[in-house]
Amino acid sequence: MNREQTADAEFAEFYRRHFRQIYSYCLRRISPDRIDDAVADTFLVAWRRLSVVPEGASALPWLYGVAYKVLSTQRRGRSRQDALKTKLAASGATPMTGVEDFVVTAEESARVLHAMSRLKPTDQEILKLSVWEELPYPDIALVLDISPGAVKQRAYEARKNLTKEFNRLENSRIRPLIAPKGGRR
Amino acid sequence: MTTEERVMAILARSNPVPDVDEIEVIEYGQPIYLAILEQGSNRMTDIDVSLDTGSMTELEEPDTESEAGNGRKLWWLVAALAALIMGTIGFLILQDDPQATAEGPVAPVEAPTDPASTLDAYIAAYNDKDIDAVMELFTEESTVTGHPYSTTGSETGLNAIRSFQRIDMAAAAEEDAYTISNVEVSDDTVTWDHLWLDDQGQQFCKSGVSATVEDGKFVVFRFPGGGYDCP
Repeated sequence: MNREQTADAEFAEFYRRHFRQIYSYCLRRISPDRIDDAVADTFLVAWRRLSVVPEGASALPWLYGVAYKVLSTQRRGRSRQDALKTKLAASGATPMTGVEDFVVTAEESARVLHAMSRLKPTDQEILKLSVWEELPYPDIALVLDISPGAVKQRAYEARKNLTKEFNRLENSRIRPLIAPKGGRR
Repeated sequence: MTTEERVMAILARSNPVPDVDEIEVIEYGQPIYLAILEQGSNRMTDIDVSLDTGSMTELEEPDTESEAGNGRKLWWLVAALAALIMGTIGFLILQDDPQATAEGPVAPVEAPTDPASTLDAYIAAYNDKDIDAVMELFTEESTVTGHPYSTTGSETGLNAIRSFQRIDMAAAAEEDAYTISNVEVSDDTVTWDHLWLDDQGQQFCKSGVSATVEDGKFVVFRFPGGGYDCP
């Protein structure tokens, strides 16, 4: 096997090992019609830089970092509303039990995702990486190229802000339902 | 359960892909993998990784047959314009320097090599989102260190620099994304502070950015470490 074939084989193994995670990462953030391009662009960068891809457990956070940058470029020109609609549509995949549970959960999901869209992009990413990709803070720091301390601090702030936004949306949702009973419009 | 815990639990339940293992790996022979191998292996200089759309497309070959007529017209127009400019410049030089006729031809006007001029050209090209004009200021030997969009910390060569420079510009605000202050020049090195605006309106500041310039091109372009918080 020559050097080129070895590189191909190494990349094939790398690709197979991480494809699911990168595909899922993109699926959680963008509309399905843009996923193939985003995944391809991410692995294209990896292919070009195979010699500098970190080995072992750091490879996946590195790849998430590439995907993050690829998606950041796609974000330009697209409204947040579009992204939210996509997330809401995709959130139909959430396991549900029974009609009543479905209604409540869908509303809560919509509300929390709406609240999330009001946070700073980096804070959104920190929460998603933490909760959806289940990455520890040191790995999130690798993805975003900031210090683990900064991740910890921003995650703390992001959770507080998300809760505040969620409560605000929840209260504003309740108010119109109560108002007519009091006769005021 | 506190409200924060409840919100975080809802966020976890809202994961659009709760089980990664459900994703089917697109294997060899499938479009994504083939596109990566085909475009990543031998023909990098022909590839335009379109960062606006995220899709990989090959640069379009010009339609030489249909454009031949236009090309010829354009060539004559350029030649005529060049002759006119050269004539005008020669006339003005001879008027200013009467000795020129006696002592032979005047030395050619040198391109500005002041590092600050190169930086100004970079800022203008960057804010115009003109990647070609930006890349005119780099050479195959240029190195950029510490750039926030670089995944390796140091990038050398036109392909590598162009690659992350495009990502950078695509993520920048539409207008006046890159503004600078405290510009200082020392020999062939220019140092400055910058304020960068992203397309979401967020501000990022950096002090002590510097570049070494030679013949109007960046030799080394350095982003110092540390954060990007603005005062």
